[in-house]
Amino acid sequence: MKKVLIVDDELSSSEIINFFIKKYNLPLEIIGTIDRGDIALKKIQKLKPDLVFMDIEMPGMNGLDVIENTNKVCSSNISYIIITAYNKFDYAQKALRLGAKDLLLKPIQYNQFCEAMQRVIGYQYSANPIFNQLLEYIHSSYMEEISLESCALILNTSTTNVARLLKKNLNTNFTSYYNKVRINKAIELLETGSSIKDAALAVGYQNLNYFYTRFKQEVGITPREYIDNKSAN
Amino acid sequence: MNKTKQKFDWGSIEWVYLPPKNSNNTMHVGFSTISPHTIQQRHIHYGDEQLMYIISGHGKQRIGNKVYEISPGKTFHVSSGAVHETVNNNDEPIKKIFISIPSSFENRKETKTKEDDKEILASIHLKDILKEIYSEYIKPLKMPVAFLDAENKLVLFNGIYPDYCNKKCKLNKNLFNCELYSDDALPVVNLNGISTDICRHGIALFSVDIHYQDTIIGHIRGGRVRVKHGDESKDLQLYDVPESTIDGINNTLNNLAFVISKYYRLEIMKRELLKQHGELTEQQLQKDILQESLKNTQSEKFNLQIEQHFLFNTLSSIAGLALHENAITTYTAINDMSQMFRYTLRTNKLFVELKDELAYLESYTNLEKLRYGNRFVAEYKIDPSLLSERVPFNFLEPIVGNCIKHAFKKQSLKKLKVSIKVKKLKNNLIISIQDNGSGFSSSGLMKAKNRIAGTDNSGGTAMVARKLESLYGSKFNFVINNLTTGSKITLTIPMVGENNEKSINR
Repeated sequence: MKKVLIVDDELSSSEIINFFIKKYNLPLEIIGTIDRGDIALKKIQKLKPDLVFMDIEMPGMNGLDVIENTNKVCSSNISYIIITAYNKFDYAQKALRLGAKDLLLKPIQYNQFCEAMQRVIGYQYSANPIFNQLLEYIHSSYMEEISLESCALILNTSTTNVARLLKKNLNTNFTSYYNKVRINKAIELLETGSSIKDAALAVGYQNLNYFYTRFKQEVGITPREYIDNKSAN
Repeated sequence: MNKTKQKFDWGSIEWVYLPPKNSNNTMHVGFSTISPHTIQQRHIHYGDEQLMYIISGHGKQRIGNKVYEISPGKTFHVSSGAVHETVNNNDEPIKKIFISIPSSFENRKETKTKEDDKEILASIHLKDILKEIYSEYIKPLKMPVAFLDAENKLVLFNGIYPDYCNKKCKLNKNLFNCELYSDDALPVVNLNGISTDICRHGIALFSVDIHYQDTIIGHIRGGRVRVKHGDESKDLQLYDVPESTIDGINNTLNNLAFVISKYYRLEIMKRELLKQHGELTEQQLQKDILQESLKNTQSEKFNLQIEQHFLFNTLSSIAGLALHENAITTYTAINDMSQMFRYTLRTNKLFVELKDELAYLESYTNLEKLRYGNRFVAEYKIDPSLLSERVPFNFLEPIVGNCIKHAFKKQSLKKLKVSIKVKKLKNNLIISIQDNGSGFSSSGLMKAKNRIAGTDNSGGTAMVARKLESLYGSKFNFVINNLTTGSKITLTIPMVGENNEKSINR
């Protein structure tokens, strides 16, 4: 479950997001709603949410300033999605510069909400709550040794059902999706300067040879070539 | 004029008139005598034109390729640069009066070059200028010339050399066989007021600077003539050629330098003009943009102006309320409405992508569906390859709006179906909006046609027509047809290229 904080001086956004979470059984937990920028600044540092929906025009402090100030003192991994009534280019530009994942226009719509969330969690919410739970489980436990069986256990369903969900929604099987998630995370780590060995271990590959094989299957080149290409660019 | 008589191997010249230095006169007049059984070898008066009148004697006069008989009373004209040779095969000397007119050149004033011009000067290449003047000024020259830039680098030479130079130093093989072009500088002397290099074979090579005002652009070297040293002193005497030849060479070289400097002036003026033209074009562009922005503002008059922050926050509140009460339909309707408002408010562009315009239309038809329920159906048939085409901003909703408005006025109508189709024909987009309503009455059709033609400017139809007019001029079509059931409106608009659009859309 991702811990979500909603910062907006009016209720509607948190009501709409709450509705989405309930209706589609999204793996999100709202840990608070705050209606002032200055209070949000303190609460974010205290509550350490995974994700903050942030309005811009607010009493106390402008939402963009809240992000900027939080970035200075708090190095933990907080994702931001801006929610605003304004469709202004300079807002969007500043938000993205501050590291916001996306910008949602009010009133928030479900398809746009899902697109923004995909940027944060790495997968697209579906209309099927059980499938959303499955993806949440894989994406939060990929570094551990999970299997079709453990998925079935968590979802309280059969392995056949899990396999069917993956086939139906993503046209894939468990092993390839599981490895795909791991390799994508490894790429993120390589991009931020991690060594091949550290990246492999961090995403759950104990065997470096296996990591190389999987990486090549997924990306088409070896991790070494990937790093070389990156530094060449 | 102390040297009035020059002696040569073939005879002598006695000068009657030599122009004083620093005068505008250029004509030289003299008597020349060619001794019996001698030949005044083939030579060229590089820079001057001659007229001769034979006083006495007989022989042969060659001018260019032609040979004439010399006899008393005959007149010969030698063009500048023509090869000529006089043969006296008789016992009697040939005496002639000759008038030599060296090419004249204008004295230029040495004005200071402006700093701006210096910058432009540096960007002009001597080679390019020489190319320009080559056929008119350099090619016709029958004397050796070479052009060097301000750094003394050889830029161009015409490869004409006297036989003497070809024999002695094989200049026809390579100009750099000439010691005057070697790196070891030889002393420069002043011969008849022109800077001259003389090689050890006694060939004098003259050089002049090419000036643009007080800036040196390069040098011209040319006119090889033989000179010989006097026995005692370093006095130089011309050998084989009359003194007027040097003046001719001098003038020719100076003329060339002058022509080149004129061409530099021309080039500078050309560039300044181009720059001004560029600024003019920029001004014109600004004017066009202004005009377009005016059109933009005019079309914006038709769009809703409202305080956006307030509007969308309010809509968001209503949407939140709707969801709170689990009223999904209301929530969706509010979203459609917000989408419409965003669309009309967001853009100051004249053109949008077809898919955006259609999304807007869809939000609108969704809202109308909310109003009329099952009585209204909107059908979209769009060629998917055209979704990114540029179309005018907000030109479909007024037309579809009219369809719905008029159709439901009639109580009898059970169900309205509006079909929106977009396809491509050659370089045009064909957009048709067809309905199954009662069609236009004859007066309604007349009214609509007046609105398209611009004689009536009220209503959505006129607004769309004016918009298309301002964007496409006369390159669009707006046709209304009555069908057996309902009506069809067909818009034909040119497909706008990305570049084209940019120029209109600022």
